[in-house]
Amino acid sequence: MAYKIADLIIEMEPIGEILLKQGKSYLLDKSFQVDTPSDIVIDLSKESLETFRAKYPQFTLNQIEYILTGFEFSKGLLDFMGFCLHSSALALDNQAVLFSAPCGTGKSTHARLWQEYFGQDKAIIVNDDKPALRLIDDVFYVYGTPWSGKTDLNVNIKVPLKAIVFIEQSKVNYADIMDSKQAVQGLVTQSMRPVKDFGRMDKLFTLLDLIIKKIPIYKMGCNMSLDAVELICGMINM
Amino acid sequence: MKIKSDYILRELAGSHVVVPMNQEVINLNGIISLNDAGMFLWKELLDDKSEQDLVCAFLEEYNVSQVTANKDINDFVTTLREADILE
Repeated sequence: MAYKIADLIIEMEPIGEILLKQGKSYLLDKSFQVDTPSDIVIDLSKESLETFRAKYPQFTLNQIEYILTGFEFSKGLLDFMGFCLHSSALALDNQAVLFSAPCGTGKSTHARLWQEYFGQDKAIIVNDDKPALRLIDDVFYVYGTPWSGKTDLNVNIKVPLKAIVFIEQSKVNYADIMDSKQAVQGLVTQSMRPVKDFGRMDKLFTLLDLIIKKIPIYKMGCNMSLDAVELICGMINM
Repeated sequence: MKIKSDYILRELAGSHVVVPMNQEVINLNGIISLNDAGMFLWKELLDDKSEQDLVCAFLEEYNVSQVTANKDINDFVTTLREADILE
């Protein structure tokens, strides 16, 4: 079946419920299903599913299909000036801000605070776990994808990227421009890196270099209050 | 001891970071970045070297005391060992 994700034609045949359901809003119209050349073909081998299952027996096959197809997408995306960043992507007034941090820090919680502050009709969660970023005509765009981690919080939209904010928990709210060394650390740690693939790793680093040159990167400590939203909004001018 | 072939050095915006090539995608462990001295030692460790070899090479390159060199190199090697980067 053909899907349109991040302005690319993706060919895949989901079997499990999660991917079928979350992929629905990205499915190409029946009239486009035939004769559309695909940009990325995602075809999980039985072997890869079984290897993963042996390593992580806590996951069902349904979940494993969802996880591994997500990895395949992130990898293929690198051939099209794109990569996925582990972050919660929020859109407001057609500008996207990405909140990035290690798991459990509070990226999603912070995104939800923005929704509380601005209203859910204005502050939209584009992807709550691994949004796709692509450089098109010199502009970085953030896209929703079917792969949004533990939740189904994703929307099939495309929004220009305004800023990236690395967050950490803190009793007192603070926000500042991140220095280059920390920005590199944050970006390399939280980007979906290809495995055993020097060519694509080079492509990732080219993109990260462009991100650092074009997109303001902030660090923020927040106590998960609405004050934190006001502070960072002011800082990034949104 | 030497650096495992699974790890490469990449430059990004003036920082030099150690990147795992064979790590599971599901693993989002922290990334090590190296300063100039770290880079020097990394290059030495691309071939099999002992801690003593490193100290000698370091003392030829940098104007520091033997005690400082011993400590800094030991700290560096420990960091790499803990991250499972050395074989």
